[in-house]
Amino acid sequence: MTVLSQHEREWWLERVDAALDGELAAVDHERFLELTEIDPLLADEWALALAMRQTLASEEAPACPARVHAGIEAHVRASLRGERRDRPARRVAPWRGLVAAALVMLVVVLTLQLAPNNPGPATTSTTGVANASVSRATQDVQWALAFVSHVGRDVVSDRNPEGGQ
Amino acid sequence: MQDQHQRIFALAWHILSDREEAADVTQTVFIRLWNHRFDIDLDRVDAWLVRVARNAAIDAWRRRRTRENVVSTNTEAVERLEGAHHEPTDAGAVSSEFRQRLREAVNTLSEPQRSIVILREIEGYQYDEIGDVLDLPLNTVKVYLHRARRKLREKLRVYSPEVA
Repeated sequence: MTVLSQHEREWWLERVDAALDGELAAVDHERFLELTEIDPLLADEWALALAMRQTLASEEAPACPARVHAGIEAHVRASLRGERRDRPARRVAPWRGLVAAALVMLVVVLTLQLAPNNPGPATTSTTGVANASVSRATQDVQWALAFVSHVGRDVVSDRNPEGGQ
Repeated sequence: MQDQHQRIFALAWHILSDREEAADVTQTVFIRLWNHRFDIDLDRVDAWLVRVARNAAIDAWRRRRTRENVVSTNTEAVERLEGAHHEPTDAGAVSSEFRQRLREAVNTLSEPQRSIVILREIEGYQYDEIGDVLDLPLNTVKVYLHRARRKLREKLRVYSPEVA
């Protein structure tokens, strides 16, 4: 049986909490438990520490009263109702209208650009009108040239009455 | 969510030893949680709840002490709790007395030692979790707990350990 010196006892008494929390090295913990078997003061301290831990760990609180859940739930419901009431009316942002208008314009332009030239009745009619115009313009040019030619001949014959050139 | 209510209520009850006050604290804490739901980091909501509950319970405890103008030993609460016990045996009576003395001793601890004892020994929190809740370094938590345990043992040394 080993008798601890005062210094040794104090050293081990300081380590009761470490032993309680399992923070001593395995060798030290084993030595500590051995010493609690032979040193009454250390044994009392260790037993008291264990008793305190066991007693505190077995403390139980009563059940939370139902009024707590009800109170919290009522507050949450009231809060949500308040948030809905205070929320401003939903409005469409002005820029959304501009974007929509731009998109419509883009679709119209692309449709016109990419649409195939479809020969139809309207196109035939337009071509016919154009051809008639061109024909009339050509005739006008011919008449104009003939008139210029005729006038030119008259002028020449007036300058040379004998018919000489 | 009701588990969380019970957990916070238990912590408040262990600090206050009063069911109605603990209920008020629990309700206040969860209403504050709702009101600050957009400001709280969801990963740390547990630590937030425990910290706010502990602070609210200590505030309530101090208000009560000021009202009573005496050091509260919570004997009424202890008596209410112990009153439910049936006729105790001798060993049971001594054990009950040890428990009562221990509660009283815990209530005489100053803060944050008292909260650390409650969180560690009753609620079973790890050191790092306690440090997180109380915003204290790990070593500081250990030192406070070590001092608190020594004080408790000094107060309870007159009782034979076997009684518990």
